Amino acid sequence: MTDISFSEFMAARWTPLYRTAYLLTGRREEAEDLLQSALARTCVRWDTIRDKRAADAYVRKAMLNQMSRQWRTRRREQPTDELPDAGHDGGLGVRADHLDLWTEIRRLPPRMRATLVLRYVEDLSEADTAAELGCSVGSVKSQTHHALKRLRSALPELQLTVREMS
Amino acid sequence: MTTTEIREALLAIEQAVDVPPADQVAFQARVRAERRRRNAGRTLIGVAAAAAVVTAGIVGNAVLDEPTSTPLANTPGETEVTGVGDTVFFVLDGQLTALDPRGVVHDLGQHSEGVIGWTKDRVYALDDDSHITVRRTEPPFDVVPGAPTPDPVQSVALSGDGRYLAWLGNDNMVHRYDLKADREDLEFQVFDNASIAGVADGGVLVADAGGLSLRDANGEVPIPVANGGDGWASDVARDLVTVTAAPEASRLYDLSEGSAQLVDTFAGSAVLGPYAERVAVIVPEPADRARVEVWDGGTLTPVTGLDDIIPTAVRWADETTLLVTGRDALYACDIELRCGQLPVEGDVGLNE
Repeated sequence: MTDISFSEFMAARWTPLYRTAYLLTGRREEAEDLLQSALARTCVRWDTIRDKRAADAYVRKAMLNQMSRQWRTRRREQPTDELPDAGHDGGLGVRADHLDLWTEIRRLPPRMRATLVLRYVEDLSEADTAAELGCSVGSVKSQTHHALKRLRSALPELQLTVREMS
Repeated sequence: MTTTEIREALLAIEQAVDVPPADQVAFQARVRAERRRRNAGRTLIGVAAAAAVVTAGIVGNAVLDEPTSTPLANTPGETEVTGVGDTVFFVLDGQLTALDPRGVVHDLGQHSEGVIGWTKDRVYALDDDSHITVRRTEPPFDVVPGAPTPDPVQSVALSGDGRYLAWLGNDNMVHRYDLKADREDLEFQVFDNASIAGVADGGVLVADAGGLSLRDANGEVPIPVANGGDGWASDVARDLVTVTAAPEASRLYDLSEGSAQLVDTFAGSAVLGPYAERVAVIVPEPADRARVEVWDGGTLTPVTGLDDIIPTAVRWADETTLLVTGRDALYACDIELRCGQLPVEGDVGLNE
């Protein structure tokens, strides 16, 4: 992968990166917009990325940076009940309990949702998650705690408990 | 249940979501905008850069509105002159705009990604879908039917003498069109992620992962891209090529002998004049300031009259007139390198 061109990288990684972008944003249009911006940024710096194996992480970091700029400009993060994206139906093979959980995760403020994605999908440690989000480890713990609290409140039948992953 | 449920739910959704194909046209537009942003940031690095970038990245629909002409309210009428002999073109708040010598601003009614360039009677620009548009340079600035290509382009350039238009299609084919002869005179294939940096009589300046080269039907002349510089931020006119070399420096090469011979180096980003007789250089200064100098026959001379702005981009309107933009302002500098502000306010984008 060290000699891969950007176009080869984009062709190979568009799908998984889009999926990550979708989990981060919870909306298809925003996911595509976020990913296009991050890839454009990566494209013009491609020659400076020495280890092309780290390009996925570079794109992900670019997406998080853009998201964090957006949420930092907000006076206060507000969860929303509005979910413009119709989401998924059972025809896609998603279990009903997964769909319920995703519906609530989408309602989380973006930083909380990003924290969950980095911790539980990308398998990052608290320290690495903090580095990706540009915040403290304490903030990651706090965001995780509050996210789980909200999910528990919304879906009491799930009885979510925190299991440390690192 | 544990957080394993969250992981499983997220992974299930991740795998279930429909993934749209990458919109290459939109993506290339973003790449161009990012390159402009990066180029401006290198020179200025500050708030003023954002204005040009916002302009460059404007997104809207492709509807062509009715052109309007607006004498500026704060100008004393049509007797006011800009000091520029001919109409100049730029993107103002996302709209293709003309400023005529009387100081009248004309909104050409076209959302635009940027101005490619103009000749005596034609102005070439990109609409917001990356199509080349051609208009007359006199009011009412009508669209001229039959653009050299009806397809969106990845990158495009007009030669400084206005004779050649070159573009890179989404099929990775480079085309050079001789506007004087009204025919395509050069075509060749490039690799993915290539970009046209400039065009001249000697060929098309192409930047790609392999570097930078001037290509024509007979072959190519490689040009060194030093110190991690970017080939895409290059320029060509006649036999001269400028290349951005990081950090914040440029080199001037002469290709007349068939290979790149170093002529001079500059402490900033350089833009060649239409006939390569002069070079404008934006030189970074401490505290995020910058100055503009003009190279002429080996001598660099700073322009005057730009004290109120931080220059972010320059463009040669003709052999003797240099346009300079900074924060929400546009200046024109004459042959004596004296600059005056033009009656334009808003986010000004000078280049494609």
